[in-house]
Amino acid sequence: MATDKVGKKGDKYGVTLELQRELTPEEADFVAKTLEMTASALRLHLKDDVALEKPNKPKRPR
Amino acid sequence: MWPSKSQTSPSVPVDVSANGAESVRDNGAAPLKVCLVSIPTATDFEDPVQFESEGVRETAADIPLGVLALAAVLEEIGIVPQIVDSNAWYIEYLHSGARLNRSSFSQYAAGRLASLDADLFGFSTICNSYPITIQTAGHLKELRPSAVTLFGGPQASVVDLSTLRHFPFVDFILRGEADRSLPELATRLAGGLAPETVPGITYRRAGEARRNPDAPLPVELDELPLPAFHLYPMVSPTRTIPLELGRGCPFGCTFCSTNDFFRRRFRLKSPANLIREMDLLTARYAVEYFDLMHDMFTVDRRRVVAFCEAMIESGRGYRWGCSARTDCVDRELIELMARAGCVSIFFGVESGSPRIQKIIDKRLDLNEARSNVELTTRNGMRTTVSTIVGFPEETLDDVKATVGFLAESLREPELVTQLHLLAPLAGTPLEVQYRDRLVLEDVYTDMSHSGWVQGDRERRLISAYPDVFQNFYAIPTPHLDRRYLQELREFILRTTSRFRWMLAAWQDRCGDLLTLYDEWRAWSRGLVPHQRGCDMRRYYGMWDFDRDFVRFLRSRPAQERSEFEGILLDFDEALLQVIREEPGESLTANVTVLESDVRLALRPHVYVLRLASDVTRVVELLRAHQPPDESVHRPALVATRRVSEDEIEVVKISPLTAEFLELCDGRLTVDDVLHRFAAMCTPVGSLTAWDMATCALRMTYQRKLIQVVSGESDSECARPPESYAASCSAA
Repeated sequence: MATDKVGKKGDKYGVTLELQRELTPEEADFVAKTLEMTASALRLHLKDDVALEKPNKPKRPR
Repeated sequence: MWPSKSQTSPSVPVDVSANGAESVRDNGAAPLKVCLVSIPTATDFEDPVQFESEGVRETAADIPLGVLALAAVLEEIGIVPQIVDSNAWYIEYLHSGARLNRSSFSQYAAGRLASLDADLFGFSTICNSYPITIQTAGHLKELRPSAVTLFGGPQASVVDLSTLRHFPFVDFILRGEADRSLPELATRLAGGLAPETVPGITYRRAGEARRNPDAPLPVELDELPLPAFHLYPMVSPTRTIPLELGRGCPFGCTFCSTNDFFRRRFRLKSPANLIREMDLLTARYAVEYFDLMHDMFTVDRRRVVAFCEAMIESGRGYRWGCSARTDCVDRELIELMARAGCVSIFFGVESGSPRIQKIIDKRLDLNEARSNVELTTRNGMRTTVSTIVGFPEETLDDVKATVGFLAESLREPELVTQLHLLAPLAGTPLEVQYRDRLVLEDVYTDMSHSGWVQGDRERRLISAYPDVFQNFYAIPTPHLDRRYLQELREFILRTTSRFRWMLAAWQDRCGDLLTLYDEWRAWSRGLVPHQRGCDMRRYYGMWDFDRDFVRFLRSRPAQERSEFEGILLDFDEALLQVIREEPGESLTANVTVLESDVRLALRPHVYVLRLASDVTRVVELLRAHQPPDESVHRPALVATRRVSEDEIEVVKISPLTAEFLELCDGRLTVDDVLHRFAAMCTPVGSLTAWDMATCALRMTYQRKLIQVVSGESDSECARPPESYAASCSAA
């Protein structure tokens, strides 16, 4: 039986999910809508880094 | 030490007429031992809080490309230099419990340098750390009088004569690109020959500082060896490596010092050579991103196209970033660069005022600049727009135009804005023009004081030698209060990153962001520490400002607030509230669990907010230049998510997702969470409530909203994962 892990390599703890069947496309669509998680363009800076922007330096990608 | 011209070091300078080069060898057969010292950049930060920040750690980890490039050419003549990472030493110095102090660091560094087995110490220099480099070299010469001290890099290259005149412990300066002149100097010194024939050298003869003609420029950059990354211990492991793409900018902006260093001759490595270097480095280190260095990469469109096409054809998929002018790119080129792996770009726009554009000889078309900045962000490039205020001819209208340019850019969420206070960099046309009018004041520019305050010792040094430390002085701004500009810089930096959409909404409503600053400044009088730049910077960088700024916005008349501003303000207040209640990283600290329990918890900085209005919709409408509609007034649920150490993303979530996240409180086991959540779900067709629960578990984990935790925080042994049946592999 296929499994999927919640908890990436190196994590101390994890959860293994035993995948018993594939969702149908309709079910997957329903799940995506019901459990919506849509990233917004709204982002916030938390720390004192903004004052330290260096000139002539492209910001590194995340 | 060196506070005035009357006090000089007792050390004996190398004077070619006295055949001082002999002093580099103990005997005629010994090979020359060279130590190259990288530029101290982390020393710009004295504050312990700042020093722990991601920005400073990134700065400290920057690989000193120039020093490694010179190390490689020395290796070609059989000299393997020692590389000193000044930033690593500064970190060790701080961790040694020493008092944070730039001057005493120079003594510490000199002490360590003196203990190294080297005859020649080569110091790389830039303007803001030049006082430290000078002091370090002075202390070193006291400890090791026979050692040869050599300066190179952008700052020493332009203040060469004055440096040698005032500081006898500096023996030589190699000006400009030293790829050929450094090996020649080393060879002559090793052979006991006087170095006066070395091109590009500034030296002393009979006590007088003399300057040789410039060294010829390396025209074929492909002939230069790969920088000696292998000599630099900090390279591995790293994800980002700087690599030289080429040199030379043909433009002549009046404030810029780098175009003169490379003598404005545009050169580019061949695509084949660059890809070969990237291959070598990728094989050696786990490189994820190449910081491609060139003053003005995009000047020669034909060659940029050739480079991008070669990158695409290679199929390597390397990701890279570069600098460019907005008038040297176009839609076709930007799209090509994006396909070739460009994910980050820096634009120096400098001013939003057409009048200042002409005065400083930048001459950008600002409409074209706006359009191309938008194009780069829309093509997935993280775009930085840098601007400067404090030009001597600048008026408040010009500043308003610059701030307006930044404000208009805020609708691009991947855009980073920079606002700098002008510093007269040595040798630039601006500095030359105003040289006799420079003033030493306490309104420090970020260009020279990123995070430090001048101590008495440095103040005396800087004031005694204005012809060495020009960048610490100011060009008078007769039409503007420089303190006003300095605070504006801090205000804009913080608000554009923390309150970006509020600023966009303000700009939408009244079209003048400077009025927001003026109102804030009047309201906050007494709150902001106005003493010195560093204190003010710290205030604007911390939560104190965020809290005060939200209070200020709330204190303004509600009728003067747009719908967008009102909703964004509600959101900011809600967020401040939960963050204040944030229990920190110890979500599990006071929870007793059974040994076998594995529990679910929100990740740090994940909060679920129930909002009366839809703040994410507000952002969508602002981005699209659309007015508010009824959709913004619908209640909304959002979760905040940490995307990096200092950046939080806001995720719109459904009510059911919010229920799941609220169950993940660090106290409930995975089993409890799944069962309780399943009890809230309604089966639909063949999809069971349990399926929904396991889907929620997987999706919120993949979204990095939750984590799996246990009470045994000190356990070293990973426990076999708990197993659950699921049927959600396609979710």
